[in-house]
Amino acid sequence: MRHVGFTPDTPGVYEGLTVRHFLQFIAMGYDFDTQDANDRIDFWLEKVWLKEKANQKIKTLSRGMRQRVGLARTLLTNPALVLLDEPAAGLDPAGRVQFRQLLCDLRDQGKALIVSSHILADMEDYCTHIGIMSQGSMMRFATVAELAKETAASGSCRYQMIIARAIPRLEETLQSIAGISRIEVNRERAVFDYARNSEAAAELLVNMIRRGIPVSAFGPQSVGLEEAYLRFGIRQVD
Amino acid sequence: MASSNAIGWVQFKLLGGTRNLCVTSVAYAIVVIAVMFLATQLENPPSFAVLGRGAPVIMSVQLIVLLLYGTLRVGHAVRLDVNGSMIESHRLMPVSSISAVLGYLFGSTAQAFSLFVINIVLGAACVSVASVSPGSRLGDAGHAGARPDDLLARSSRNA
Repeated sequence: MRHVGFTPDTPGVYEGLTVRHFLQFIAMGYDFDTQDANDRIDFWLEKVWLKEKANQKIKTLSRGMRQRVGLARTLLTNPALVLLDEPAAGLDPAGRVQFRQLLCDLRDQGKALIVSSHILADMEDYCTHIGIMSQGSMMRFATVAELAKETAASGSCRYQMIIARAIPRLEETLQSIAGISRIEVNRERAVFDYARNSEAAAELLVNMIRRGIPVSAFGPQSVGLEEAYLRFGIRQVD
Repeated sequence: MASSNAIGWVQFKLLGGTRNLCVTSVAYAIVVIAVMFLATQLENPPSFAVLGRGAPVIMSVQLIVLLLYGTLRVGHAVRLDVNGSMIESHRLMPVSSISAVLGYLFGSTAQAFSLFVINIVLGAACVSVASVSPGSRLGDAGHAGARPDDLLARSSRNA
């Protein structure tokens, strides 16, 4: 277990302790000597951007900061295998960028990272392999490049359309257009599958305008992993 | 840090650490000494003999401190760790079961043990002072017990 680090979705912390004391407790549990422990704590506090909060009680920290404390707790022991469950949850946009960079650094150091996340756009940056799971079963396991290639090779693409104002029977109108499938309408927003070809997409746009749909924005909804994920038709994420 | 019990240390820290332990212990000792002093003054005439009767009270307080307060503290510490998912974190740590149990037993009850020690010291002092023979100590065979003011005055005179 010494070589395994795990950060759950909501990491367990002692709210009454300061960040430094909490990490000292972890270091003590792993039998690090005082000097080594202090060096590691300073290093990881710097890495997870909590240096200024070191002497602040954990109960005063935001959710994102607690997430970082949990991350520091996991990485403090220098595990070879790191398991992270929704590690970017609660992080602000700047925090997410820094966090991605941190995971890339860990990956480049040769650590095995297993990340469970719903933020697929982030995962493209730091993952080498992706496993798509649904209802406890592995639906697909491949490298990021393989998945991207499969998605690009597929004939259809998921498009998103925003309309200027809600119109009645939009779904029926879209269904009447040949080639459109998997339609989801939500007031002024509709998503559907259609041919990937850009010529075909241009014709579709003309067709929709001709049918009186007040299109204000139209384009591919997602690219890369998100699109690959959506191709599996998984609606409800467990 | 290598020889320390991490769980014991963290439970002790959660109670406020050394500072809180000292403040609580000193405050408790002051309160008990004040009660003992008041008890001697309420006697007519004021006498240390009343402290001898306080021994059962101190024994009862010991029971409350160790059995009630101590066990409550351990229960609270374990419940806090279970509810806050810290048990999961402890499981990943290379901490032996016996070490974890000892940590909960002695870390979360540091204050109870401190009060226990104070009670022993004060209880021993009570019994010792109350059992002083007035004749041998004060040379006053007519007194049932020693008067505190006389005792202090004679002690300083002897010194």
